[in-house]
Amino acid sequence: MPYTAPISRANPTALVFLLDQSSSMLEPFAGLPDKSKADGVFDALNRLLQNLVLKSSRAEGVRDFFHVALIGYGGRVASAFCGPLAGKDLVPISQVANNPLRVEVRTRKVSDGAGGLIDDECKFPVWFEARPTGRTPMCAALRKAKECVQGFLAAHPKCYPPIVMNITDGEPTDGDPREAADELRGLASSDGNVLLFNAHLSDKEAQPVRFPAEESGLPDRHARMLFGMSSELPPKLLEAAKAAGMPVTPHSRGFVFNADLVAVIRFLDIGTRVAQSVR
Amino acid sequence: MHRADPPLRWCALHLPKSDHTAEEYEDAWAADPAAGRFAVADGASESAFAGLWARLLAEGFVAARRPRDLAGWLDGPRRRWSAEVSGPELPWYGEIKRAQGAFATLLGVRVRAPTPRRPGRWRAAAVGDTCLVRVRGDRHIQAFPVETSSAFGNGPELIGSRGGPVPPPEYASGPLRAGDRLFLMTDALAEWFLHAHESGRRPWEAVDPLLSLGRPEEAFATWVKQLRDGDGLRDDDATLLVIEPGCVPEE
Repeated sequence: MPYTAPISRANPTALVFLLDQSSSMLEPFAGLPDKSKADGVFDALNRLLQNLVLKSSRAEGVRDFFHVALIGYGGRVASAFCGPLAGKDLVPISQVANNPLRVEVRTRKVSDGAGGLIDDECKFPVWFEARPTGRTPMCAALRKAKECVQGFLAAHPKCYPPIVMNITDGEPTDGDPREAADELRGLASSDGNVLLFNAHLSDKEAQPVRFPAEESGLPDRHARMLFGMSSELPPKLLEAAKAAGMPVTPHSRGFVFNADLVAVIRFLDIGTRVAQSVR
Repeated sequence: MHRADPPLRWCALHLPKSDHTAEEYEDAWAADPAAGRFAVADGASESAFAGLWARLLAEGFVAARRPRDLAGWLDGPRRRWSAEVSGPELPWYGEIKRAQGAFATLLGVRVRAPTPRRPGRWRAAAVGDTCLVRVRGDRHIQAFPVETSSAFGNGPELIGSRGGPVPPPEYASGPLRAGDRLFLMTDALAEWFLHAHESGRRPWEAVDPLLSLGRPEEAFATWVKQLRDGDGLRDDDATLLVIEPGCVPEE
């Protein structure tokens, strides 16, 4: 049965995040006039990396259950890691853990146990900074993802299939991305084909479309194209989406359209839920 | 480790997940056969220093003055855990995990052996999905707190090392007759055991020969690996503690 390979140090999987860094990402999220899409995704992805590190860390250190790539596409298509990992594509999670750009100290309100709130300081590591510029070369980004994943599959042919998560707010400016997406999803380990999930961010107050199973009902041609590029959620992720209250059905795809910040965070969380079953 | 502490015979066996070292084993067990107390705990791998916490919990149950009153004796193990993990400076992720604390299940059992005139008794307290299965004769089994293989999930109740509320334990008890056996197991093995029984098999019959061998640890390791490879046993830390209460001669 596909999509059941255990994820372990001996048999890690790859997570590739494609991040639209075009200049339109500087515009605010729907409903959040003070937060640009780029800043929202910056926080969400840094937090996701932090969670992946925490899931992989044990008393003796960080176990390499995952190899992670963060590819930005805008003015250029390149690794979005900053600091010690700058320029690197797929990196083992232990290297991610030990090489943040910086560790910020953030303050959050927590209960004081007596009905009030107090400030609590927490560490917030940061691996990249949002630097939106230029257009939306999505085709090139998908080809870059293919390159990363191909090398990984050659080294780990029995792995849980790599997951590529593409976060974008606009239409590609370098052609029709469907062919590149097909080629990416055409790669496979012995446990199944590479998974490609897409999230489209919205700056309009529109109802997000979450994990649809059918094309009908999608608002426009662009949405239908991204839907067509997205993989169906394998059973475990489908379960995770269901448990998170998403309106999923058996053929739901890893795709959200007109996503607000909450929907993007959910999308990233569900898409990486395989992290729950590492051992 | 097969021990005869009359009137109890008992044996504890364990194996870490495949590709893991003995140091990476995060279940724990403890026994005080003279007091008829046994405990098995399962540290949640995702939390830091979970193996240590599981061991402190199991030992805490066995040594507690009133083991049933979990909230009453938990402070001691929590303090010991804090003392053992504090000190070295850790990278940012280690600090976060240490601050979050470790988590573990706990199954504690007290056993009174039967006499020729009256049955003995077992009493168990459980938080989470570490299980006790009592086997009588060839077919009658009683499982606690998880009763069927399909009831195992990914989110068992856990006890935290950093304070906070303790999930209320579940309690069960029952008579114990000569010839009964108690199998205490962490979740993967318990799930396999119950599933095998539900499929009409007698999984305890596979365990018996392991216990009678000169080196039960090696036999257990071979057996567990076979089950992982071909009989659907989930690849997780596996711990088995078997108790066979003999009969106490009456004065």
